[in-house]
Amino acid sequence: MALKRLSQFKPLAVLLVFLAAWWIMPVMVKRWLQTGFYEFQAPVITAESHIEDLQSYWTLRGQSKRDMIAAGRDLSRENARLTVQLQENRSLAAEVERLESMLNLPSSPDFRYEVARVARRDLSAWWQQLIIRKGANYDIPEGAAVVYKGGVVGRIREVHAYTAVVELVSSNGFRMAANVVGEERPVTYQGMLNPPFSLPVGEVLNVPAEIRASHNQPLRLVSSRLGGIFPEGLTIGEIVDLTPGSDGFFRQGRVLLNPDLGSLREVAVVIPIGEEPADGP
Amino acid sequence: MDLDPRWWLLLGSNILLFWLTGMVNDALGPLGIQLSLGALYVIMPAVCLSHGWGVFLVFITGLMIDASLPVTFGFHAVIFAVAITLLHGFQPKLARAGLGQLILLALAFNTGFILIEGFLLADSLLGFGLYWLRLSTDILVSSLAIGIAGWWFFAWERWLLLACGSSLAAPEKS
Repeated sequence: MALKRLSQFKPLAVLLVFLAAWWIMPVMVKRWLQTGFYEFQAPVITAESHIEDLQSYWTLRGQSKRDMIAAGRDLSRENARLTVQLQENRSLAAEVERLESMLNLPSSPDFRYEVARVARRDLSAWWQQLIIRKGANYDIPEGAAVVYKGGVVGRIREVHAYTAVVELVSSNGFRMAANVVGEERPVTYQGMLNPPFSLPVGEVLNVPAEIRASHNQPLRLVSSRLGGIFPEGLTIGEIVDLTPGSDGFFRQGRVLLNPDLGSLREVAVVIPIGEEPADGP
Repeated sequence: MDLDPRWWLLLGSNILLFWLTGMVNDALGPLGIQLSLGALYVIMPAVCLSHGWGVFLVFITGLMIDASLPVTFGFHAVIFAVAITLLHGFQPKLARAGLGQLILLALAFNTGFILIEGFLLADSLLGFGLYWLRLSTDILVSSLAIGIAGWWFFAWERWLLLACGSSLAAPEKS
């Protein structure tokens, strides 16, 4: 009778033993398991993204030759425009270098851009992240900035063998130094909770009290060199309202982020030149 | 202690569901909603498997979910393990339940899972009305999805077990 009564608690005992075994497991083993479980899924995520690319390819194959010729013509015009801009950039960079050496200024950091396809989006109430199709195989460093044509995307949180996880700028808890356009003083940007069926938003803190913004006169918020990892002047979003903060000295407000942020297909990882991992022994 | 062959079939089904949910969430992300179908991973193992193997199965499923998320590794695994232990007490009744009853159970457990995650991961968000609005939307959308996907998933698992020559009966207690 007593044995029968005891056997009722067997599932609970099994659970407790299982959980105790998990809790006392060394962190290194857990870390190894986590990497193993992630790398087990990664090929499926990557394959799924390649299938989407193939789908786009076949959709394009179905387009008429006339459309493709028009798209090719537009692209060649864009190429010509960008080539001119590239030359302009080179001459500006040379000018900056000349002025830096003349005035004995420390040189501004150089970056290279590694373009990567987005394989998977995971945008929940607690985290907002992307998985991109490049990782340690392309020397992507942890903590690197990620940008796209519309501005800041986020930063690399984890690097795996062939993929990397990007924490989005809209993710709750994401923080970076920023500047209001036309203002020297730095402010703080932080991601915040994104309500359902609405555009991604963030929050700006420590804005000097004399700065005003409204829906009719929004202010552009850009990345600051103080952040370390982001090149200066990349768009984060638009400040659409500012209210006095709790300390009375500064203001805080809402930042509307680019709506494309949730549907990105391609991003660029900003890798500081000189901080890349060295090749082999 | 032999491994029940149904363990592999149910693990395969959980991996399939995890992959499909990831694809749907990838598409739903820009709308600001997220599907969470955690209960579907737990119900059928609770019906068919012995407690030890059931815990092991849902624990592995939980670890798979946790691997790419910024949560403590084992977060979902522990929640699922506790849930299957709770369900195990009702195994004889669950084995006789129809699909509709299993779906109702899945709805209740899924709502519980989202609320538990909501409390444990909230951090400073707990006092924000918007946070609860977002969670309520996720619960609503996930419940609707369980009504549809749950029907298919449980039917798929049952079909898979029968097609592979296994039965749906719970293992006899020694």
